[in-house]
Amino acid sequence: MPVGSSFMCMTPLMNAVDVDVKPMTGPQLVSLDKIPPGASVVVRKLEGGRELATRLAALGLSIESHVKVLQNRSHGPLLVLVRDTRIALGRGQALKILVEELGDE
Amino acid sequence: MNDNRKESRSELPSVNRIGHTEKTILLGLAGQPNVGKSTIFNLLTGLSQHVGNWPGKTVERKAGTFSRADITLRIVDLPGTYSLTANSAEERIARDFILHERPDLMVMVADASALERNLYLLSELLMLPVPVVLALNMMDMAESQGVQVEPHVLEAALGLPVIPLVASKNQGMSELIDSIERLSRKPELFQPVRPEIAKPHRQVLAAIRSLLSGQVPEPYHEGWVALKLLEGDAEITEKARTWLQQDTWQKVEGLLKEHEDAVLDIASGRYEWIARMVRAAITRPRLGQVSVTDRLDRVAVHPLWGMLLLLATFGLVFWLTFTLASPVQEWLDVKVVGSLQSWVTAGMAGAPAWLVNLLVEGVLGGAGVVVTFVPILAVFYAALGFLEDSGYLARAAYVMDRFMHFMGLHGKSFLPLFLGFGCNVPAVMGTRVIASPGGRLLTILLAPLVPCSARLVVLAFLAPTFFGQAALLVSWSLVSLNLLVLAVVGVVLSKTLFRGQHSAFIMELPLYHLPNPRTIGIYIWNNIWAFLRKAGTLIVLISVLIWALSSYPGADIEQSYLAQFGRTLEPLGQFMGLDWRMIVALLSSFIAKENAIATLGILYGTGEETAGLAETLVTVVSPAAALSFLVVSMLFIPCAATVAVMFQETRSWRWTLFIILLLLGIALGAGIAVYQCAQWLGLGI
Repeated sequence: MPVGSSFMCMTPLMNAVDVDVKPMTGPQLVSLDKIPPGASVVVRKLEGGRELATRLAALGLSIESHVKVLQNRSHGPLLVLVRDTRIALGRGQALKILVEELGDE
Repeated sequence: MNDNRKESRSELPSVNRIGHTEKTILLGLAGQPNVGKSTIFNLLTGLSQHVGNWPGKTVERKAGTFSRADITLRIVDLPGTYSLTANSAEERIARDFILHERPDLMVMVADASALERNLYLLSELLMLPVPVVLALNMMDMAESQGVQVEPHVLEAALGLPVIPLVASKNQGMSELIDSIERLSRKPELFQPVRPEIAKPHRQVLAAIRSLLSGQVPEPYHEGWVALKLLEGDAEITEKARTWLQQDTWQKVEGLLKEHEDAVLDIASGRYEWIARMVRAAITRPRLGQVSVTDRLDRVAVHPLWGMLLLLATFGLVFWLTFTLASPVQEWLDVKVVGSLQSWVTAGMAGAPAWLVNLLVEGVLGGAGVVVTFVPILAVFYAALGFLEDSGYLARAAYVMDRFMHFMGLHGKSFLPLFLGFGCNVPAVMGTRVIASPGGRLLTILLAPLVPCSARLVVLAFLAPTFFGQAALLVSWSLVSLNLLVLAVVGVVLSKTLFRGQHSAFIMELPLYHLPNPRTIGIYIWNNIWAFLRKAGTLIVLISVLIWALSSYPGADIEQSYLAQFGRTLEPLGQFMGLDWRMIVALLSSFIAKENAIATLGILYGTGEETAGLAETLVTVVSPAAALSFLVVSMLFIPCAATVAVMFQETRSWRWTLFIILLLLGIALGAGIAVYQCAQWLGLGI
């Protein structure tokens, strides 16, 4: 099992397949808008097409990047810290960013 | 590693070579937003800079020169962009400049405190055929954030010159120029390590490249085009379709469809390359410290305190603008323009009367209007420049995002709309920060509803005249009415004509820092100069036109074409309690909003003396009519300069006409409603 999970870290695109095979053991991917403030996560998957992906990547938010949620209320935009950069993100965009939670530091 | 270097270098066309005798070089200044690029540009070029537009685009182009004994630099400041993929007009401009204008050298300015994100742009620049010098700016900020960067270590890793700077303190500039000079004499010294696409997609990149082989015209390069195709770059995709035979293009398209996820790997590949480059160069000795930015943001982006801070800032900007600028404005109006007018009248005593009047009332009258705006705009832009340069304005946009969403817009639209309180012209131009065309158009359409300083001047003059003690209440109500109408129009348009056009809200909140006075000074100067150029000439021209309409055919304004036109509209005016004079005053406000006062002065026979006007108006105009006049003039069609800029920015007469008619309808409707209500309440006496 450890082999499986480290493999997944390197090729995030395999996640979907892996989850299908072993739905109970793969790391849970949740969208960024569900992450409470203060938590740190790793981006595993970006949905929403090429344009959003290139715009996010240019601001530092790419696959495997570490993101810390600074502010996230029930509505309105999120504030996150990624690669030393504070980024405001619309909720609609946060929905398309699938992440894996890291332990609390 | 060495092998790698050679391989990736040979993939690119050779860089421009410069002979030893040439001393003038074309230099492009690139960088992401908020990295202090304009500070560096200003330091290098001073007031030699020339601001214009990029050909066929609505994006500002700034150029200037720097000279030293051994070198002259022609510097073009490229728009700040996070990457070079054609997601926005700015990004296209930046890369087109490099591809088509062939600069001898690029300087990329990076923010040392967020180096990895900044180097993403470098990773894209290195794929284009131009040598690059990396200027590491804000070294002091990086240190205060607990990040230490070793420039020479980074230089060794990247294989290109890296110069540390603190541009806000003018540190490192001569080293930067030395480095530019050295590299421009020996471009062969430029041997960078370039990023590569991650392994899973190397094959498909090669396959697309071979399909493109021999089909890509200058100045494009096969490897770069293949990469951009995989990234889904709209502009390059469109171009490649025309370059290739149909069957070849279908093959390419098939590959692209199959590898839609390649874009993620390209980005990851770049960040992996960046991580390799900076590994030895960055140390973080002090971790876990709460920075100034975090501390300030506890208030600035707080849902409640942030909103209150925004309102307080808002109030302060207005208070400053009107307390500091109003006396100067009055002085300019009376002492400068007034004396000039009497001087011309006296000096041209022998000339025909019509010529004297044309010059004094038409030309100087119009120019006077333009000039008296300058103090208000100067103070307003100073405040705005301060807020922008300090990093606060992005927080304001973030806090406002929730409210802007009701209108189908997002936080970024708040910035140009806020500018509108100074003048609607820069507000319309300021919508360029909004990436999506739909959001931008909607913001342009809403901008004239923001009461500009000219309308506020009219309000500040007339409200106390008619309402005495209640003037403040009336003024605030009218400003609120405008904002309410703005919100309603925004909500309605976003639910109807702009339905379903939701754009992504992604915005950097830069670190706070002390604003640079020089940067703010040049910001004020550039904006006022743009206003004078764009609005100034137009206002003077239309002022002459209105003067002609009000002076002919008779000697008396009562018999003029303007009066005749006003009288034909009187039946409509009755519903709002407006006589023909007030209608003409409204019409003249189309030139420039505060013309309304001057026109009333002429028509009610008190001349330019506004003091007498107040007393006359109170006796002849009922409070209900006055209120209706104020409401209509606050909501009335945008001024000529705004209309001109709206057309220039939308490139559409249909949308420009649409908003004029919409505002006309709203203004008249509101005027009628207010007048009838006020009469009913007994204010008509």
